[in-house]
Amino acid sequence: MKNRSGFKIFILEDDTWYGSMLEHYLSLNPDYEIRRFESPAKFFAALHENPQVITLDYSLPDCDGAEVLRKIKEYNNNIQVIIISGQEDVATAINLLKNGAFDYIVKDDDTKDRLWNTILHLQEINGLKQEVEHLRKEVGRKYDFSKTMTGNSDAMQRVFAMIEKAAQTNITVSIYGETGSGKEMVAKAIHYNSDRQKKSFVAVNVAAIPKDLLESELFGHEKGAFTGAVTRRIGKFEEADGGTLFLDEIGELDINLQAKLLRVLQEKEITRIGDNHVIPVNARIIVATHKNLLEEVQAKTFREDLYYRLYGLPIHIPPLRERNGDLLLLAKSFIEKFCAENKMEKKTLSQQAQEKLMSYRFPGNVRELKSVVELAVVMCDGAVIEPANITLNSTAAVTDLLANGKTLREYTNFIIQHFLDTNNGDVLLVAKLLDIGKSTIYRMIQSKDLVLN
Amino acid sequence: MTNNLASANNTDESGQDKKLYDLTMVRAVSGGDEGFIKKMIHLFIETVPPSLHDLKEASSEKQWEKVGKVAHKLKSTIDSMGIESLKEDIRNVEANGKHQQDIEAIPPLIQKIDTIVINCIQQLKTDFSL
Repeated sequence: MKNRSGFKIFILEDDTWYGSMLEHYLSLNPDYEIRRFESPAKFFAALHENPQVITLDYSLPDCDGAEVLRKIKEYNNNIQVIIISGQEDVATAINLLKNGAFDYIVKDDDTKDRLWNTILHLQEINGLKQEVEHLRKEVGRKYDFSKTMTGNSDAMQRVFAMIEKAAQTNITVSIYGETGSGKEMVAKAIHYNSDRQKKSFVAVNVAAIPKDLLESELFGHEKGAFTGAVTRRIGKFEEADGGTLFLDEIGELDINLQAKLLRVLQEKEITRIGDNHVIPVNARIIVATHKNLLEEVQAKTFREDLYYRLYGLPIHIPPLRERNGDLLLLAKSFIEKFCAENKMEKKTLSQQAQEKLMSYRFPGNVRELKSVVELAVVMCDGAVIEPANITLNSTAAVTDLLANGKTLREYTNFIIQHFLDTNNGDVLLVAKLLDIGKSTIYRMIQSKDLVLN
Repeated sequence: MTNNLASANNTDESGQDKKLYDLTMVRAVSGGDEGFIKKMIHLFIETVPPSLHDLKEASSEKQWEKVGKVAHKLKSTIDSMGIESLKEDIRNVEANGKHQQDIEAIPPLIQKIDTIVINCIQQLKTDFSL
């Protein structure tokens, strides 16, 4: 009964005596966590605990069993309900089973055994269901990018079309996009939709590894190749053999290593550091960068020959602010996923909250949007997310504000209005905070430059 | 049906009366937990008399539908406590009340149920030294 992760069973039975019997009998199984209720009101108040199974006494005095069943199923269709009834009434039983009851048990000498078996059976079904769901998620995540990547905008539809093209061949792919726009998601989508899906997808963030270590990270080294090389190490190229090697932030690659990478790409073979053997590698290369590589080439920080070698099939991921209409779609899908993963009630965005999100530029793109809405879900206590629940990155908000292209007068109005709004329209306080005359504010209100809410 | 069995292992201390109850079912549910058996007997002694009172009251007020409902609730308790002699009577009261038929048969049946349950409680109190 104390098993927290156990199988939760609610008993709704107005007869204390019979309810206690059931409670005790079921609690003989240590996997079960049991709560007993005698009134529907208390029962429904606790329903959010989402029991896996409910045993329901059909003939409650002040409530209709069929009605209780309907409400439970409406609340969460995954909760299984076992009806326990004092009468044998075939018509009622069939009706209840049709309406989603899992079983109908008559109170008699065999009730306890039937109930016991039914619950064991349910436990098994639940286990299988969870497994199926888990596997389906896994498969969906791996093979179906239309489920992991959301976007109806034309710009994203073009990206999807490119992913499909890239997945059909082994061509090198270069992905361009701002930070947080989903470069690695695209790379994974290509890998898991290509015939390399059964081999590894190996991701290396070039910018995250010190340049002295990167060479051995990529190509591996033999024992004793350099101080500290105490064991042989397999590089990422070898690890990705038969699969895909994803080199993120390729624009940060050290110029000396660029030459070596170019050679590997051309010869399709590597040598581990400190070793003379050449090892053939067959890894599909996908690179990504947020930089404009052509500019880097002109600035001589990126090798031109490598640039053309890597160019392959270019995929440009649009920044979120250019993906018309995708923002709300993504926000809703993130909220849904987050709520589902955390077993929370579904939440929605109020009209004002949607407007608040839409008016922000999201320099961090989809990644930023995801964390903003997840935080909003956490901050929101009710079922509707309001603007107050949404925290936007303030430093970004300032640059964002300045990027709006307003006149100084408009900026002034905007700032004072903001202060009025956040201080309950307290003119005297705002005047003090901003160190301006209160009559200035009153004048602006009079001339309708400001609004007192 | 299992009446003799349960009485045999239950007590012969009182010796005189035939046991009105049979704890086979309660024992089966208990999983060998004597405390639970005691608790269920306690609950029986506490909750059944008020229900009987309701039953008598509803009957004297001729609220037959209510009679049926209270009898329905009592039915599972009487069954589980193995009070064989009342199994049929409580069902008759339930059915008659529910369908409002044979109403004149109800009060004497309730009288009988009341008497037997009270005797049964007496037996339980003696047998379990409560």
